[in-house]
Amino acid sequence: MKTKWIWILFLAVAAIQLAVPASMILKREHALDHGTVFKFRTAPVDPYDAFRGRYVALSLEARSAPVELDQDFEHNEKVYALLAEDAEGFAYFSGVRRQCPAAEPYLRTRLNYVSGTNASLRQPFDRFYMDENEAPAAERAYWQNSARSNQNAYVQVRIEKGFCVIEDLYVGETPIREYLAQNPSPRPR
Amino acid sequence: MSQKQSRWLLGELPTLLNEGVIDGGAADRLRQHYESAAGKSRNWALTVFGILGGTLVGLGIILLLAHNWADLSRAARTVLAFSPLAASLILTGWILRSGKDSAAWREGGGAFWMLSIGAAIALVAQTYHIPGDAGRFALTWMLLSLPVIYLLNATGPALAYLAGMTFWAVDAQEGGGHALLFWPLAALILPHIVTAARENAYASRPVVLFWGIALALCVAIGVTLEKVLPGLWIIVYGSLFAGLYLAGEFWFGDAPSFWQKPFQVVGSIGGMVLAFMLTYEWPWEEIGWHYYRHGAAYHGFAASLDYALAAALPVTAIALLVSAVRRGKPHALFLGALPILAVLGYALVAQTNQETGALALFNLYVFIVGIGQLVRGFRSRNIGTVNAGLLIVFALILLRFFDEDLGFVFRGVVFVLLGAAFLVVNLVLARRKGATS
Repeated sequence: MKTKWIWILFLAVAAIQLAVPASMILKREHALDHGTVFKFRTAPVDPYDAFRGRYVALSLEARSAPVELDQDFEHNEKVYALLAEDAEGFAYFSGVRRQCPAAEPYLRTRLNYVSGTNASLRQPFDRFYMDENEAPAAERAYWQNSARSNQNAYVQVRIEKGFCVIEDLYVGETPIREYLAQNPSPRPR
Repeated sequence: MSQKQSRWLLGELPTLLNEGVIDGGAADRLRQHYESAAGKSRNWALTVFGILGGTLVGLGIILLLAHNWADLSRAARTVLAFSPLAASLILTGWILRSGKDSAAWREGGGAFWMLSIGAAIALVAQTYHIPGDAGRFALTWMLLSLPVIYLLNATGPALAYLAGMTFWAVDAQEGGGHALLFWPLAALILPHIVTAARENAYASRPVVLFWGIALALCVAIGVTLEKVLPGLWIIVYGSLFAGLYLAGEFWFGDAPSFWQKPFQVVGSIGGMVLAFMLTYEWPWEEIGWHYYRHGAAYHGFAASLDYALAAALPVTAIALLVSAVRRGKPHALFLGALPILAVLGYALVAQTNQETGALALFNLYVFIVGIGQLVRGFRSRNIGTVNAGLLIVFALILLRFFDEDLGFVFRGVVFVLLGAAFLVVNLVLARRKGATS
């Protein structure tokens, strides 16, 4: 009898342990298939995570949104950040809402703080994982490239119902891995 | 008895039997008893190597996945993410089915299982560039790993769970949140500890768990305090260390070795370090009604834990102290006085807004504890206690000698007077000894 319960428990645990990563995957695959594309200007730097490996930290240019003075937002409050595109096709935050917007594209995130009419938003994506040899090279590539022209790295994401998944990181108009293949081992600055 | 001694005794048996010291039955019983003891230590080695093996394989897989094989498709990476977890599930199923319930299999399998869960979530996070939130990653990992402890009855994962939850608490509190949930979540391993300690509380398994709890308590209490009333930590930590020591003496007082007294060791070392800190002005200076945390980082309801701890911990520690003294253990007073003095010092500084009284109190306290240990050590001829007393007294003397907050003349006079007092006591003792001999 006791053995039977142990087996039932074990099978339930196994199902949950497999279901959690599986649901993480499915949710993101769905967003990648059905989400709308947005491009955010970014500056990549190269830190390190012992468990998940090397990544390029993304520092977005668009980090804040205008708010009206009388709206009393709290630190860490969950908000909907409205998305808009500038003349060059890069995304920026055009406003902050407490209720889910009906028609406009938006991103779910949290609020860091409000100063005057400017709300600083928590960056909804902050890292781009790469091969351990490529990540430092990617950072060097970015700095070399941004020295030549204006800052022109951007991260392309897909957003579905406010949920956001990174598609790729671009330097110029080239995906970062292709760019590194074309410009092998740029010298450190 | 050590293995060397067991082997010697087993070697002696034939001689003892030949010379008629013991009969055949006794020889057989002795052989059986000491051979099984030798077998136990072999099992212990197998367990340790099992844990090492499971951990190394698991960590190796995590490192291999962390390399980030960017050429692989997302589908291939998904298969990779699930394969260690699937392997560990199959291994666990096999352990449960085959009845291979030796500690080596359970602990080794448990370590591998737990790490394979972490590897799976980490690889998914890597593939989809999920934002880095180490605390949340740890929380998901630990909650998914909790059943490992119970299904395999494994202690290694229980310790890892405790460490992971403590890490989460630190991360949550640092990010401006609160970590009150730490307490119910950490309590989820209590049934495992009770089962492990039921048979023999001094066996390796419960002792390792007790060390884990004692250390996690010291970190977690400080982390989960909402720190609304500055300086309240003095009372909370003073009572915690005294409580740990006294609880250890109460329930595990007859532990045969240092290693088997985790609560006493952590309590007394922590208590003495705290007492030394309290001989300085800075901890006392903060006492008052100034809030550490404010705005959104202030959680009023979480502060109720502060008040509850500040009330319950000293009461528990004092109750344990009373019971220790009643059972004829007056030396428990040395550390047991710490919470009383902490409350006294706190009240004194809060009332007068002057630190001098509390400083004098704690200098005197540390000095008395040091001298008390010295005397107790000399009386019981216990060199360890003598050394502990000497260490405390000399540390206090050195710290005060270099203490710039006190004037040269004041320090000089106190040092000379104290030295003279020691010499006089010595002289009196020597005379008395001379008279008796």
